[in-house]
Amino acid sequence: MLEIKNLHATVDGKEILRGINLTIKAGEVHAVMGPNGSGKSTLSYVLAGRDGYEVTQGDILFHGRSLLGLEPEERARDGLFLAFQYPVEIPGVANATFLRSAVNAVRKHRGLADMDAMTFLKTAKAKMKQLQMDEKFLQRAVNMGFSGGEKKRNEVFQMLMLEPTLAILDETDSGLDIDALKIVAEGVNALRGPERSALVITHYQRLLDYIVPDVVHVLAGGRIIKTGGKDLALELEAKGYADIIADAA
Amino acid sequence: MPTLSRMRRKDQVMSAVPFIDQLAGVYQAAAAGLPGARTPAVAARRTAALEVFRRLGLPNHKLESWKFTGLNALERQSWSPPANEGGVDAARLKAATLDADSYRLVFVNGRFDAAASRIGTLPRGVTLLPLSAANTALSDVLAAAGTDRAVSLSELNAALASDGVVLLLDDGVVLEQPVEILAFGVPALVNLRHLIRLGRNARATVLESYRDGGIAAPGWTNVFAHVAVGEGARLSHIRLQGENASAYHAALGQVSIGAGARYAHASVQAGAALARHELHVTFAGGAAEADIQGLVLARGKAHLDHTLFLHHAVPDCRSNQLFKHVVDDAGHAVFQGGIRVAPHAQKTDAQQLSRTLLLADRAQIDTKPELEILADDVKCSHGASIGDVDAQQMFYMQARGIPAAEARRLLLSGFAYEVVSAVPEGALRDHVEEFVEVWLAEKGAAA
Ligand SMILES: Nc1ncnc2c1ncn2[C@@H]1O[C@H](COP(=O)(O)OP(=O)(O)OP(=O)(O)O)[C@@H](O)[C@H]1O
Ligand SMILES: [Mg+2]
Repeated sequence: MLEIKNLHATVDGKEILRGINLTIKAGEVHAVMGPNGSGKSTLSYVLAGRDGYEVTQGDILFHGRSLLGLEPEERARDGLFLAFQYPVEIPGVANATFLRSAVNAVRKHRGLADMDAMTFLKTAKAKMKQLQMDEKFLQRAVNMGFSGGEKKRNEVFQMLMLEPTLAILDETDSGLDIDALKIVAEGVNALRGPERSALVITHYQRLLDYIVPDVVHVLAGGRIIKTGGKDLALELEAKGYADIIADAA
Repeated sequence: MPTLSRMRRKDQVMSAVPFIDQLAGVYQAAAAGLPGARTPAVAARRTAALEVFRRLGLPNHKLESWKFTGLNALERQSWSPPANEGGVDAARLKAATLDADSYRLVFVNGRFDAAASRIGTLPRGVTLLPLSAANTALSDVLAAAGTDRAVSLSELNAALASDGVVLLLDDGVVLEQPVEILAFGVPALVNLRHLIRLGRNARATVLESYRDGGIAAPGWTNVFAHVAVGEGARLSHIRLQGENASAYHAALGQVSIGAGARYAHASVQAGAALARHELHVTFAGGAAEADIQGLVLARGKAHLDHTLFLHHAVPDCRSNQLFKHVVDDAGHAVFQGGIRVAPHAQKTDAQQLSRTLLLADRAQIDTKPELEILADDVKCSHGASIGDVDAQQMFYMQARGIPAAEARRLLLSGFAYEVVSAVPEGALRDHVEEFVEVWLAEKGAAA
């Protein structure tokens, strides 16, 4: 599904990712943990194709095809989804308008007809119910004045609408209360399947109780310094990163 | 270069008759057919107005308020009064009309078009008629707006006004349906003059719309509007300027707001080669409010100007100005926001904000706040921002699969929405939104 090979990337001329290797097979959930500033969000932006994040070495293959050189919208239409650590506010654009454009752009790419307004509304409302989100959020401007937790829930809502094959969740759990965490995790699990994979970036082992990963990676200093099973997360929770970083050095 | 000089030479030949004399000629040709032509006082007022205009001439760059907008192009054209014949085609009319019940007055060739209009039965206490049918109010309507060069076009307008709207509301009258003033530009000099007067506690909504008549030869629409909002009255005044891309459009509005009254104005300019909407607003009584919003959508070589003078002549009034500009290609937007707070106008609250998106290297904005604050106990602020569409917002949308061009259009629409949402909800807001969306969609097609 996703193959990251010796990935080096710079931001504003500064090298942040320094040789990442990571392979996610179809149906797998991988967790990435790591200290603040280690490059987790940078990795997610590089995968999504953000401007200014320059790949200087290595390659990213998604469904066997290199992502390098593809626009963010092309990657999204191919089934890649990034739930932002800091979702962006867009004044004056209703959540529904935004999301319907997105859904139809993806559908068009898949050779499907536009989703009409009625079907869109029905589908959206069903997904919102699943996430216990108020329908009012459809008419509000994208993320404007949403609380931290509401923004995160809105990210997962978008994900459910777009049904990506690879979901990258960048700290989707932070800012969520305990109940919301469960609801959001259920939302993510609802999308799990043999053809869908996820890359879950988190600081907290707790999320991984709900979204159980197949593989856990530790990212530090722009490299993956350790990879293990779900128990690695428990170990990190107990001991922190110091020992692992020291071992890797 | 050779083409340019050839054009100049040709234009000089065309305007062998000096511009001012040409306009006098237009007056001679039109005078007998103008409203009130047979009333000596009215005819005298018109000739006098023409003389004032002749003496003053067009406003020019030497005037502080005309620094950024020049009318020289007008002098390079030859002008004639509008034709007597011809209407607007049904599709064009339908596209420009409000999709709701309204009192609609349509003007084509500077004349009231009864067939396209629909006034219906009016509630008691409401006078609504075209200027061409308003015998008694004429002198009132033609009264001078000022006699300095900066507003000389209003005197030309008084001389040549061929029609317009007279809307008078008695005290306490609430007009539920909006009044729709719809004028189609034609390749001629058209002068329209409106009088809108709301009595005490009266309420009305007015949509004033200037649209492309469909003939791509330069026309010049010159509008003057006098608006008086009585004590405690509420007027929502929406103005759309969507003239042909070759047209010239100049409008001056004079607004007075009575005590405790509220005037809400939203002006969207998205058409014409050169357009200026100048608005003079004066608070005549305390505890009144003015909420003035503007939106400019300029592309090609369009030069679109909003000039506002807001006079806090009395204490305790609140005014808010928000002007937004989307400028593409070699478009040029101008916003001048003058606020004057008189020495005794304490507790004034006056806010002004101008925001601009410049989408191309040659796109331009001149924005000039001009605050003259002579009272000390006031809250006044102004700000201006200029930028391109936000890269983070673009990325967020693209990361959801939305193509860049569409993401951009959505962001521009969101930018405009702040002004659009100032329009009363329902059919009116939908109408304005549609007006904006059509412009944005054209952009997409051109890109
Ligand atoms: N534009 C930039 N210029 C220079 N350095 C940058 C820029 N953007 C990010 N960085 C740096 O890159 C490093 C990695 O940042 P990143 O956001 O990927 O970390 P992270 O692992 O997601 O951290 P957190 O857990 O706090 O979210 C940080 O040291 C950050 O300061
Ligand atoms: Mg991060």
